[in-house]
Amino acid sequence: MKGYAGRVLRVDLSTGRLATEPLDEDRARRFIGGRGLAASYLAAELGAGADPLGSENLLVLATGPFQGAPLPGHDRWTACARSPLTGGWGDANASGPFGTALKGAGFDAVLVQGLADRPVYLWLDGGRAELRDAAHLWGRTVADATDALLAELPDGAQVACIGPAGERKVRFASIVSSYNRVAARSGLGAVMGAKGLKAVCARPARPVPVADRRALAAASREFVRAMADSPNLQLFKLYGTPGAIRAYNALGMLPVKNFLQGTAPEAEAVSGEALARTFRLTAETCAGCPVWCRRRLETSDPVYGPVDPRYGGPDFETVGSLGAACGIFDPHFLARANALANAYGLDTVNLGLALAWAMECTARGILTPADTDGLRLQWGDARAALAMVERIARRQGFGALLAEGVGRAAREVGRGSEALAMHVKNQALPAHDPRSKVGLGLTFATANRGACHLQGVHDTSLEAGILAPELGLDPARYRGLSRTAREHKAAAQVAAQDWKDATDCLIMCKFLAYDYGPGSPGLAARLLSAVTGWDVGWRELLLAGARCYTLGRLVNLRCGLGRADDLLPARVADGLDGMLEEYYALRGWDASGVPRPETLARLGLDDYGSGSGR
Amino acid sequence: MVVPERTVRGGASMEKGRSEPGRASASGEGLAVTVELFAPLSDRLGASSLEVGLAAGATVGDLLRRLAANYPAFRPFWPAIGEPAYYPFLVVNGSSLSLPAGLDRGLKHGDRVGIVPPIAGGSRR
Ligand code: SF4
Repeated sequence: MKGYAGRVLRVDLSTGRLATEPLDEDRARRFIGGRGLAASYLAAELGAGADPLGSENLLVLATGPFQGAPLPGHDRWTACARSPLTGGWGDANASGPFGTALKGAGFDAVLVQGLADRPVYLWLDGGRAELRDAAHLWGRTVADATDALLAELPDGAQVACIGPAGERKVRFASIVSSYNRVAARSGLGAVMGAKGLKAVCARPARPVPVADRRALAAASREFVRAMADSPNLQLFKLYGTPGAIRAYNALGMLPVKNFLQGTAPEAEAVSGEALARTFRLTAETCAGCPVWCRRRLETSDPVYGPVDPRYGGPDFETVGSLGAACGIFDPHFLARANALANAYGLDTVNLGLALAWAMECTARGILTPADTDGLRLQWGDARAALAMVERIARRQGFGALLAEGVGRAAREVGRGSEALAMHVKNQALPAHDPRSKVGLGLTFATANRGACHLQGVHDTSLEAGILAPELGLDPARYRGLSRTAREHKAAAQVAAQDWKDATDCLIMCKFLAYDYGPGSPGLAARLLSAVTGWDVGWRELLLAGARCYTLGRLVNLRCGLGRADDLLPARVADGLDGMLEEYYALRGWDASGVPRPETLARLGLDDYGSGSGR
Repeated sequence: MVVPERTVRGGASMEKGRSEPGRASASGEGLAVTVELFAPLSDRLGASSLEVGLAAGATVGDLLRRLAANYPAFRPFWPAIGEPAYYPFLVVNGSSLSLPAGLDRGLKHGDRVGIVPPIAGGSRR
């Protein structure tokens, strides 16, 4: 089977047993890889009662057919499990060479269950797997642990590890590969920490077999040529993702002060342009990608403590959540906070919105310094915020409460603070205001992992007329349609959710794919056909995306998340009125948000049942 | 992974308030507006804002056509002839203006018109 290693590894940390099993072609074609492949195992095997931080949770690290293939956007990997943050479906996605290493070491995916009785790491090399002692790594930051692992492993090894936050089961702990390539969302670092798995390390040995190199090269060339015309990619090339901050500020779409405001004049100080003036930024890219959207950050003048350049510079979401949402418009704060988040292994979005919530609670007198370890968490206070980051990572005092994530923290504090907690299914909102992107708000409400800007489509793209014909986005309907309009938005979100899930099955960088970049479903299907030798059309690809999306929903239903959780925080919920019903109907779900049997049959998922079983 | 290094320094050659050659006319029968630019347009033009002179009674549509005629960087968003590839987002004196509905909106002397290219923003995670 071209495009795949053809095997998955099962790891039981309780017994130390390692076993490989073949990846059969039927499963590969049906679910493609990445998140879809992971969902096919989780939906079949995860018990309804599996504690996200317990032995039964199944953690899947997965690759797809694109990893290691010579095409732009392939340099990625994914992690999935039951999320300790949402209590339901959890996934996260990271760039970097770890994905190619995992597959090149001989495994399309690694499935981890059980709990180790002492810290271990998993080493994958040349088709062999080994659990090794990690006692000497426990407690160490991401860079320290990565350095130590690279020193003891052969050249070419790649490391994905957790930091102290994951070890302490902070519910929004990340998994960090290659120092700064972060699988951030959903708290999957805490799943590794609970399991006693400090790291997974892999060395790529085998070249990935590709079916038709000429066809792949031709489609890749076309892809790269089309990137030159994308305003988004031009912007990311110039300033990295924070290049979008000025535009978001002008359009009133930033989450300033916990989404109280959409804009602030001070935000100019943390724009991509301002970061480039303040620091020495070096552009970095992923293998095979001409966009170079990533930044290494060096400063000779670290105001708030050391900034290790290996942790990278703050991205758009980090500027939005730690900067704008906390009212801290200070590039030096962002450099330090981003480095700390990556050192400890924390998702910056959930971190920023937890701090922003505490700041709003302080401003309203709900919290006082007596509640927050003597720190006055005021809007814009960089030093108090940084001190609290340290306390969250170590679960000290009030930091232990924030380590539960903003949703749980607010329910614990009560006194009206729940209304100030900006999350869906306990996953904090990314830096896109649903009031100014009403359709994306529907995706925030319905996405399986909670509030997510990487699924569905940005209303701004539709309004600008950036459309993909394969998704049925008729220009007459969407071009010039206001980003705050509701009509036709549910249909666009359903179609785009299926497409974005398809990209997560292939594992293709979403920046290069519609609606960020020029990669259309048609082009992606051509790339997939060239890699695998299958004759895959875009309809089949979108169907696989719909399967992936639906399996995530089935896992959520099994975990007890359903219609009552498809909500937006009241502050930004206005646009959602009436759209949920339309959305369920378009999806073929009943009024309570459960996929109908005929919908499962149409998707070829009858064997996965309705989600309420097990 | 070995990645070749490339240093990025922002705001390289942005002159504030560069005038459009031979067009600014703030008095008499014409009017002048300030166009505020956002990346990547600002970088392509090497300016963060432009002063543009227009005839009395000019509309937002007239302004966009003038810019597309004089600056090729605008053409993907508003070509001189025919339909734009994409609509930019406009902010007139701090308020969003929808396209294409807003094309007929009249401009006044001293208006500030922000032109934001169609970008989605975000980070992969
Ligand atoms: S667009 Fe950015 S994240 Fe995506 S592949 Fe290119 S460099 Fe990597």
